[in-house]
Amino acid sequence: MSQVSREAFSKLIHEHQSSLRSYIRSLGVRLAWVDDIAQETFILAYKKQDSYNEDSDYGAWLRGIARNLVMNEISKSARRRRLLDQRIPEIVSAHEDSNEVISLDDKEFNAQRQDALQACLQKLSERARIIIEARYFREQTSDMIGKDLAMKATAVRKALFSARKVLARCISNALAHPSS
Amino acid sequence: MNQSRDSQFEDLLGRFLEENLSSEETDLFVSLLKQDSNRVAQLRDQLLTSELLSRTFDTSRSVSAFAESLKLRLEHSDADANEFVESIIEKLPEPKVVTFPWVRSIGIAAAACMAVFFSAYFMTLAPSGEQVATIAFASDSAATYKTTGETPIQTGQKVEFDDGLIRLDFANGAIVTIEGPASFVVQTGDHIDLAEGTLNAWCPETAHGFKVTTPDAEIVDLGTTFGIATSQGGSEVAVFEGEVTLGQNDALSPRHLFKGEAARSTIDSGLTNIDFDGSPFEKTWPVTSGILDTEGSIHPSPPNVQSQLYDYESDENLIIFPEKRNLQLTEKVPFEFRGPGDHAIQEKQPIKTFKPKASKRFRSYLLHYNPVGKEMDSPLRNFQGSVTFDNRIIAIIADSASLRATDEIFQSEDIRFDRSRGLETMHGQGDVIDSINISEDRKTLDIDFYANSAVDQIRVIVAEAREKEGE
Repeated sequence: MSQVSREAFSKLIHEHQSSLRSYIRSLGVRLAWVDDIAQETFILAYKKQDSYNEDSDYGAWLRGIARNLVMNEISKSARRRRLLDQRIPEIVSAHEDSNEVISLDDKEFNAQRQDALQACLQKLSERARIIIEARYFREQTSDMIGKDLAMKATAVRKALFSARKVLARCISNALAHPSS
Repeated sequence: MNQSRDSQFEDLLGRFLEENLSSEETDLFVSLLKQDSNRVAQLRDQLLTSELLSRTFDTSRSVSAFAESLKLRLEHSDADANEFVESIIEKLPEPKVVTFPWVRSIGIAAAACMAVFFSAYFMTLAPSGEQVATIAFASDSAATYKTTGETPIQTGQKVEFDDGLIRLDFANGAIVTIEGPASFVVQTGDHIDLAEGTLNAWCPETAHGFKVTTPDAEIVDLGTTFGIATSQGGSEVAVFEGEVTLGQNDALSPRHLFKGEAARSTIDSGLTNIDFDGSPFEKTWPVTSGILDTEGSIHPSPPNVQSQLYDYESDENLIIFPEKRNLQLTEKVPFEFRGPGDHAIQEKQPIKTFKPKASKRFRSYLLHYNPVGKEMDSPLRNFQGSVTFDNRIIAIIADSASLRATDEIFQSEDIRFDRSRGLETMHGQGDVIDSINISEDRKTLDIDFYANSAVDQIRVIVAEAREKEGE
């Protein structure tokens, strides 16, 4: 890609932002910094368009930049707080499932994934939905949720773990069998 | 995995995602991860689902919010001269080798012309190469040096100019503005050698220990805003906030100077206390504070310690001054206006709130009309003016209740100005409407409002300039 217009780059952002943000989060970047690093990735990609080989996968190229940015965090002690822990990116990268990473690039797949999540949330128990909403909408910690719902914090975390696991499986099934 | 280990791992993972593990627990979590690849897969699945849920529930992470923020960053970035870009790209598997991208991007001839042009104003003493600061602002003869986008400053670089201001934003977070005639050398990322000039510095926690040496003094920041005016007659140091140590370069015991204190250092007389006087820093202090320009009825307040600023009185002008900065906000913040465009101030202004991202830092300014004397009948006066900041305006607070609700957050600890009054009323005259405008780039605030004998205030919340650097 020798030169790309702002409009064309805007299209690329919309196509790849979801998968890129997911990928960055999966490397163990703190939630609050995921979008920041994703934006840095796009900025670097925009500025260095001429380094991109048109024959290669644009999503993979973006992920390469993102991975380098994240690894760069490890070498800068002052910035480690952008990572949940500096050891996680390497551990996760070493176990990267190439098929799953490639599927992240499919923009249609990503849109379906978001739709599937909405449907799957309805399949959770009412209590699980309340806990998910408290965690992700009101951004409460498990301790705070526990106090509100008269549950132990460990029980809240277990419920969150299970709910996320159920949602991941439900989304996966919904994508594999769209008609059902 | 046995069952108890599974439960332990799941609980650690839950707390890991909440960023609530001690370092020992994190070590245990990482150790459990390394023992079993299934656990790594679980971590990854949980991270991915967590990310999807976050984007579903948090409107501030919508695609449009992401794209808008990215667009702004793209407009304000200039990485062709940034070695960091190269270091990232070169680590990719199959990079094309790009030689001298900066020269290529502007053209070799143009680069040569620029180098000759700049050298007329600045003398560069063989910089040792490490970029430690950028020029964020420059005016008058100093402005000739600043190129489009970020202009890097390297260790060992000497800068000289006859008049105007230059603001250096250091990588460690220190912000330093110097007024000409000036001559200084950036020795390291936390040391300036100031031979001549008036310097004003703000140092966040990450820059504590920042040092300025002059021919007759050594000033070390201990968490502060301070000023130094250096000439052949000696150096005068004034502390606006916090604390510095002031010593002579060969002195064994430097003196501690605190907020509101000042001292003079000369080679002949040593160190002597003097009355605090902010006036030498009238030009540098606003720029260091992030106020780059004002027009019309708005003026930066005279430099002073925070506690004096709220009591400043003027019938003629509105003053603007900084409050707290580098704030990490944890609670929802009430506001009335945000975003570019015109905003009319209604009688009953709806109050909204925004929830700041944990990763973002903010500061606030108070636009303040405080007429001389109190509560006496006087005719309405119209004030029009503008103020331009160094970074984006996040929100405007103009309602009395919102001002009071945010005083505790944004006022310094030792200040409780209890006469805050917003602009929500119409002063009893139906055809008088206060209005503000936020520019497209969200850095300039225009105001058109009426005031009589009472205190009128607007609080402006601005993004901290260096937030993206992860301080």
